[in-house]
Amino acid sequence: MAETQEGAPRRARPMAPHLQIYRWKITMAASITHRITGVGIAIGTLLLTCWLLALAGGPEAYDGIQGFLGSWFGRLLMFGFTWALMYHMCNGIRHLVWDTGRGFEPATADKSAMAVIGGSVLLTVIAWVLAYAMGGNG
Amino acid sequence: MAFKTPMGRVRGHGAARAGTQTFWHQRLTALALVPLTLFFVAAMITITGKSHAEAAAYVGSPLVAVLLLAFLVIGFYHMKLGLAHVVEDYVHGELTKIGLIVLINLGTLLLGLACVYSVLKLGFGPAVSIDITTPL
Repeated sequence: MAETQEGAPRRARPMAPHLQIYRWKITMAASITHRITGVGIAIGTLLLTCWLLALAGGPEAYDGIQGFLGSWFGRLLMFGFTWALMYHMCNGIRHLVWDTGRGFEPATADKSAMAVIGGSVLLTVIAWVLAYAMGGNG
Repeated sequence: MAFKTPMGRVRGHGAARAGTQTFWHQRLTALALVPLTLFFVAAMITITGKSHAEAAAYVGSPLVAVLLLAFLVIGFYHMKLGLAHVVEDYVHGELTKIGLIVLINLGTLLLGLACVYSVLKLGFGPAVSIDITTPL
């Protein structure tokens, strides 16, 4: 602890390489996407709140919001919301497995990241195929 | 409490004085949200293309309403923990950080209450429009 004593000169110590010099890995992408989808879902929740208030508010309010959600922009928002939910759920399961101390080997982590990306896209497509089969108006 | 030693009082509580409670709650809510999210998506698919009356009756039916309330309450709590976590990691100015966390706490509470109120209203009775301009 001699170096940290008061009055000791501050020397330039070796530092860990900055984050940006690392080669981009699928596990890094999966990690930051988890946060981005989390914040995205929070924004999507504003839309869900408006929709529930409109549903409770009566037919006129409901028709208004359904008109917006049925537009191409509304559908795009809902599609993004669906995928963000599915991604956050799948990657959340991956995190819960990690919490038990399993799945940290680099090859396993790469594979589970691929599975999360593939699985979230598949679940989103299934949900939308079913939604269109149900009645199709968004 | 008075019979605990100072060491016993602080052990496991860390610098935030709350121990691992936040970590644990985030995991518990995450686990609960896996089936509840699948239910929520399934419910939204079921409502697709339905009229207002049909959608309101569906959301207000007991099983759907209770599961939806569980999804909303647990989901908003999970969201509050997650958003605060992101702010704690990336916002370093003390005043901005505390301001944002207060905003997150109040904002998620308000949105959560709006959602819960709406579901309860649909569950306890049909939406009735009352013309408040008409004198009684």
